[in-house]
Amino acid sequence: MYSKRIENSFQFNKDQINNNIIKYSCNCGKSYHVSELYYCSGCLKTNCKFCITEEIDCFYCPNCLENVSSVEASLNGNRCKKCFDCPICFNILTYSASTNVSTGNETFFLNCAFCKWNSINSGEKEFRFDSHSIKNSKESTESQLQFNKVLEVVNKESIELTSLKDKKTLTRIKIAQAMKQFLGQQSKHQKYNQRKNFLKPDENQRWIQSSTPQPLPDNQLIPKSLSTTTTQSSASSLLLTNQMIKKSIQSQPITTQDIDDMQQKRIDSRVFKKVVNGDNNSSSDDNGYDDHDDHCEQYDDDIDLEEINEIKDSDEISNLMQRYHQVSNQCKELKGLIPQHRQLLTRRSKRCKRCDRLLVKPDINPGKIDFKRSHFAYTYIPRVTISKIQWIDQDLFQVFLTFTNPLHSYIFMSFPMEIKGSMVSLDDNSQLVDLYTNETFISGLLDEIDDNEKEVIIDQLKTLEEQNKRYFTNGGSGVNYRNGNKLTLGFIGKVGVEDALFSNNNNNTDEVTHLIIHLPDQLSLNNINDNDVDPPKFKSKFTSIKFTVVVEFSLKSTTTTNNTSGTNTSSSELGSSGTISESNSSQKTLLKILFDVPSDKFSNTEL
Amino acid sequence: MDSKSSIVLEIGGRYTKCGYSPESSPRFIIPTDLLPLNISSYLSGGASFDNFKKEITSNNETIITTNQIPTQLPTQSQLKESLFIFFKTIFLNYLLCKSDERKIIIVENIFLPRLFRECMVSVLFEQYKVPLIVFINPTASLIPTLRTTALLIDSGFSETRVLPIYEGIGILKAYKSVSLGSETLINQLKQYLQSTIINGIIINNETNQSITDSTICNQLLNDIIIMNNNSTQLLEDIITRCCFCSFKNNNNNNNNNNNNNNNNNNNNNEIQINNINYRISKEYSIVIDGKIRKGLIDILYNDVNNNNKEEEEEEEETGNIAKTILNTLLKCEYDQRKPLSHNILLLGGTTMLTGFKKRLVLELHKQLNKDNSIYKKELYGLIGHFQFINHPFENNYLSWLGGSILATALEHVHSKITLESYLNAPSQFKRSQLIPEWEKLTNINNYTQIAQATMGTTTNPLQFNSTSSLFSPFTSSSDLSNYLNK
Repeated sequence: MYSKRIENSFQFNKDQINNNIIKYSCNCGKSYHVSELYYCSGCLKTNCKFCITEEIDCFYCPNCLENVSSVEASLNGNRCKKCFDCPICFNILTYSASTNVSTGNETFFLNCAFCKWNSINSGEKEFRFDSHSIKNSKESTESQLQFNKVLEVVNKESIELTSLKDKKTLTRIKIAQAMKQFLGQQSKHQKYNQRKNFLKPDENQRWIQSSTPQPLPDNQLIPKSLSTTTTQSSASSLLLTNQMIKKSIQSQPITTQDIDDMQQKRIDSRVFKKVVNGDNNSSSDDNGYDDHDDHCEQYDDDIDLEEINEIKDSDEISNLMQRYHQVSNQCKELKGLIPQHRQLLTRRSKRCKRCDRLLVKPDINPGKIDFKRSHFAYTYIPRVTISKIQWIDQDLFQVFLTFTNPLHSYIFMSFPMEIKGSMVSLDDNSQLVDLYTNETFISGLLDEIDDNEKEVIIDQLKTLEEQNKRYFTNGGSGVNYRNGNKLTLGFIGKVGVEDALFSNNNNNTDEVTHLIIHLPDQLSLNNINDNDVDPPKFKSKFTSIKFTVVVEFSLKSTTTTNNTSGTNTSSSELGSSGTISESNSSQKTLLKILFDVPSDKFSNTEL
Repeated sequence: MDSKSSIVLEIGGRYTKCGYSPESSPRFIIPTDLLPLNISSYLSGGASFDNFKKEITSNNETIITTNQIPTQLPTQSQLKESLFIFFKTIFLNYLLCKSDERKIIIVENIFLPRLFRECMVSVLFEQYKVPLIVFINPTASLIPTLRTTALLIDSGFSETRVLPIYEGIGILKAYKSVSLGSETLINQLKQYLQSTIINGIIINNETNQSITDSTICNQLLNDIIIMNNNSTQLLEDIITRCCFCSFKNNNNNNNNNNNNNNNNNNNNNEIQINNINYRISKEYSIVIDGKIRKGLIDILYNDVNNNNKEEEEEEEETGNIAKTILNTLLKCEYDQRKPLSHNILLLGGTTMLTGFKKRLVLELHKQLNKDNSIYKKELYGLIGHFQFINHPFENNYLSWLGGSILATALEHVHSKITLESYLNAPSQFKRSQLIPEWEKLTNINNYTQIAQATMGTTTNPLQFNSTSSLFSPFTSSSDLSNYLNK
């Protein structure tokens, strides 16, 4: 799978320029800054933010740092019981007391240390912040009251609907009820009454009862007797049955005149009468509408221009953030803003999505900042920095990578010549062509070798190192390419990617790709370390050079003493014989490190 | 009721409302943050992507402004990643809950793109293991008002949608949308600030003096309005705080004396609108002109007075909310028009601008009074019949509230999927087929298809069936009985 570079997402690694140069690929193909990755010690792979699951460990208030149980948190709507946010600037409010000099009474109020808001002279009414009055004021708002009513109605309906399980009966009853509404006008349905109570007649809602064309025409077919039937009669008897129609026709034959009348009435009913404010003074004027009505009509969001003109500065009007801070009452004036309880925060533990192993476990106590378990990638995988990068020829560059071992013990690492997946990343424009093919090691923070076997292996690796001196260099004249838990290696890269690398691998993760090494012949590899005072400058083809390095590392060496002869062979042979098949791959961690080096970072780019 | 209350989500083009179910207001209204994608218009409208390159001709120079929206549709994996992060912040940073034990109620607009819904469902089920997802369509916003008939006017960030609902049934054939919303206002304000860099538009906070150096002005405006990443937020804030809907009089067709007097009075009033200072930084403020404060909204009712054909075509493009509403009414049955215009329900944040209702009615009347227009011929009788539904809630979370109430009667909502049925579906295709949708219905050509679509359910798919009993004809608010007696 090709890796893809992902932008840094955290504030602390976002803005600095150099933070986007080196990215570590997660197993899922996206690559991140090392600080954004986790390392699962179970499956020996890195995890990015998409490859973890999070769960909430505890709730706490960010201000008073008090641990809140989940029951209590949900009871208070995930807010702290004690702390308030300033409605203007969202800072924490402090409790203050002022003493009335004459009476000696102490009054308590909330005060914002930042913007000087306080609960006494903020609004028209003093804001009472004891839990009882807050609860009361919340429950007595108009919206809450209507909401409760609606909820009640819906619940009632839902229960009724559930009790009528048979769909056929349900439909029948529905039709019957509908007919009843048309036919038996006096019999107000119980539910209608119930809802009417909720919707109090409102003079602003002029048409709540009259939205349909009126008067509706009389239908001669409707049995007159029906309108007098009582509510108690079964609904089905109210239906227009054939017998009913026959009966009524027999008693009262319908003439064509009647039908014409009916149709005319129906047409008449569609002509909407002119509307004048206050339905009582119906005017006979047929001129239709005139403009006065507009100015008489009142809407609840009407504005007073003079009031608007009094406001000279927009800071006197609440902004969207302030309004959304109190969603239920989005007040336009600063006066109406009231403090809200502080929102709680959580501490979350993170698990690997593949093996469900804990990656991060915070301390439950909000006052403590250390982790009980912290498998962040930067404490587990070798960290890479570029110590120097320079052009050695047109389109050829040498890069000196410094690997840092964050662990206490030795790690062994190698640069595999073939891996499952791809050697290059999606938008790479260069590749490394000359890599150290043997295994090497970095000593840990504690520079101790604890067992003999390791010692033997390290000695072996050291002798190999001597034979391949050209890789082990820190770019300068000095020879101390090893420094504590650091190791600097020099590689040669070439601008341009072999087409084969892209075309062979159709994103098939199971396919094994080989790294193709074509070193230009003219290069005398042993004499790269030019210590010229004024090195030649080269032009860069691209504004940034992007290439990928694949590193395998493990705590145990894969070079066993038996296989020393194999490793002594020339590098090209080793590349094809493959390290994958012999090694215990489950012990190894494969890291893809993506570089994106701006060309002006090269020490000798001709600008 | 369940011990664990369900989550109600309404993902809007700009703001997402989230909260728990039987509560009277959402817990949070947060920006819809689908970074790195910026697809707000795609989200709310499913609008075609051709419109996104707008050409603005000014001074014989053609400036092509690409509206932040990508010219390409997002791919499924991109969307899933963005949604994954977005839901993560909702679950863990705002609602603070475990996703796998909460049902989710999603209030969505009818034409939410299929791709988006599929991605959303897939992320919620596969990543977050949500036990149940319920889709609720915008008709639910009627529930808090206890009405069954209403003309929904949902004016959001990138578009305004008009959907008539008659006796609990959405009249889809009359559904209309127009890409006018607060985004239009924001762009307009941006253009205004860019084009009219007049001396004195920026003033120093300390000295209260206007800055006369035009280069500094330019610099500041550029820095703050054009280059700033948060410019949309800033402009939005300017609009919410400084702008309002003026009631412009339609003085073009009546020669009534009284009318003229009124106009004069009004004009006097209008002139008096003062400039307002908007503080953009510690040092500087912008002076927002009175004309802009009152006139910005005009773009929503873009009306060309000249009978010029070219301009009329242009008008078609830019649109006019009042015309859209009237077009919707035209599409409705004759007998439905009056009840609908008596019950206008405004939704969305844009409608919360001061004076929006009055302005809307004025504009509707203006259109109806226009001579020779189809509106006058067909709908003239509706003049004076426009009435809004009063309710104590705020417009911008009303449809969320509908979802919140319906969550208590989930057994009667049919458009839902459970985790089990989703995961047991044999293929990705079958899975996506499980997602209930409205859009299927718009393409139905014959009745067999309808029968198939509604097979197994006895309900009309366009009805918001959850409360079919509550809002069935026999309990409708428009009770006919009073008038039959006369």
